[in-house]
Amino acid sequence: MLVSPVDTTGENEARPADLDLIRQAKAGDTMAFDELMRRYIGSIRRVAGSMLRNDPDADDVTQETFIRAFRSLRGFDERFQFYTWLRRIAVNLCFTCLKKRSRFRLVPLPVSDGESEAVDIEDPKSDADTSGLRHDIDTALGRLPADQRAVFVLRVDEEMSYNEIGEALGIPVGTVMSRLNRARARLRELLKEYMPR
Amino acid sequence: MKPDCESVRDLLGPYLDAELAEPKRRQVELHLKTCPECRRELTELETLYVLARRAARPGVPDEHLDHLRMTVTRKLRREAKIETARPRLQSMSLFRLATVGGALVVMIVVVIAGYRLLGDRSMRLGTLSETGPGVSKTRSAAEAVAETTFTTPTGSGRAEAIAEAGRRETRGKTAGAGSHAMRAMEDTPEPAEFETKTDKDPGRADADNTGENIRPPAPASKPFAVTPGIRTAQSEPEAKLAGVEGSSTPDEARSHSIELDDMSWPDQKVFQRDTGTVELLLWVEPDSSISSVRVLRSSGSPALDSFALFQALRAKAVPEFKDGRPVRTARRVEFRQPAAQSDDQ
Repeated sequence: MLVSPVDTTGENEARPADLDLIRQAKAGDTMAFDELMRRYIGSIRRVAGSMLRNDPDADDVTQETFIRAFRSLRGFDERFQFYTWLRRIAVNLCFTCLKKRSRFRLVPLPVSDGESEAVDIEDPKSDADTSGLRHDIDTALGRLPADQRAVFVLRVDEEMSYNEIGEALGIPVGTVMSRLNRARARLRELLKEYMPR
Repeated sequence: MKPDCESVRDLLGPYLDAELAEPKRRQVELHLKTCPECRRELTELETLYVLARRAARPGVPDEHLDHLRMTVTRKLRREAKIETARPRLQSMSLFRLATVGGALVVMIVVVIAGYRLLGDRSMRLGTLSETGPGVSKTRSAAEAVAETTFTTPTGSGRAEAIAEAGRRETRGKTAGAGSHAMRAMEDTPEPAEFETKTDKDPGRADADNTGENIRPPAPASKPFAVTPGIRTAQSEPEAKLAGVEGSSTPDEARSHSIELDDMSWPDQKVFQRDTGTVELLLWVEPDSSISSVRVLRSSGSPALDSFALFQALRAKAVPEFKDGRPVRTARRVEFRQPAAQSDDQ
């Protein structure tokens, strides 16, 4: 029986069919690969969206993940979960994307710089709905280094275990824990106005 | 704070994540019962998780996922076609390859031999007619022109004639190129009046509230006007680099930036040498693209400012949300060189 060391995705029932499809796809059958994509594209897009907090980038990473997966499918070890392998590709691509973006840092807009009439930005704090909160969380996450952000998002949004995160990022569990600790501490500081008094 | 608070606090995260093994988990639970400070610490961590989950990205519609999937499938099929074409060549047997190669060699030999034979005949004819036309096999077009225009059998006169014809030829070529360039310029549409077309009431696009037909915002007189003395993408080459030249709509600006993606930075060395921070004002469209960029504060290096504009137009950013819908948003960003990690803040 083929068991992945990080097999907690709960998709075991689809596994035999996955293997068949993978073998067909390895032989160049793009229809089989299309079926694999149909199964996992939603999950991969969610991971990319969580990590990048930006829809166009998440779309790009999602597509690139499957293109790279198809190209390197011959090297896929069939003892492992296909989704785990895909997710690892996606996470690595997200890292690359985040590093490219790290040149830009958001700074608050001035109250008035002569252009304020052209700047129609509402204060997210005045709007108690989720979009304001999302904005603040996105901004806070954007201030984390890519490695801390990745472990936090994979833990909280994807609810992955420390083992799974370590597997996906290729780092030891101890490193996952220390990065998570740093990420939590920094986020609490950045979002302290949301914290209970 | 109790003496064991320090060690317990390091374990609160893993405790919340249900990653603590039994003896330590029990130890944390016992401590929490007696320590209100650590309980508050745990509550803060729980709050952080709740907030982060509430702010999770909204799900993507199935239609959008189908679109992504079909785009990938099309690309893979194109690649697969190319891949299947290659093995066909590889599968050709060695014998067939040798046969085809041999035939090619024979053809080349025949052609060369025939050419030499004809050349010898013409040489013999040339010898018979001495200075008749077609004597030299290596005459240039200029020589031919000279010979038809100036009938000068003497050596020096002939050389002069050839030189003059060469000059004419060069002039002709230059003139031709010039006129071609002029034609190209004539064919090029007038640069769109970016200033006037984009100088709309910023509220107008918002009034549409459709996310479409939004004009990039720009002040009336200077699309990239900033503090006097600061050089921005106002000059033509830099404006071109910033992907705004001739752009009258955000779509055009984006199409420029797509072209720019394939372009290498023309003055990479200058850029790498300069350091500093550029403050930019970006206008983020609802689809996360950047439609307009302006320098708010220069780095002092025109090359770095231009590079920042160039990069910003290729970037994407998260727009604001209004009534649950993304809206056009102004964002102030800093661009730093050398690149600094975002954790240094």
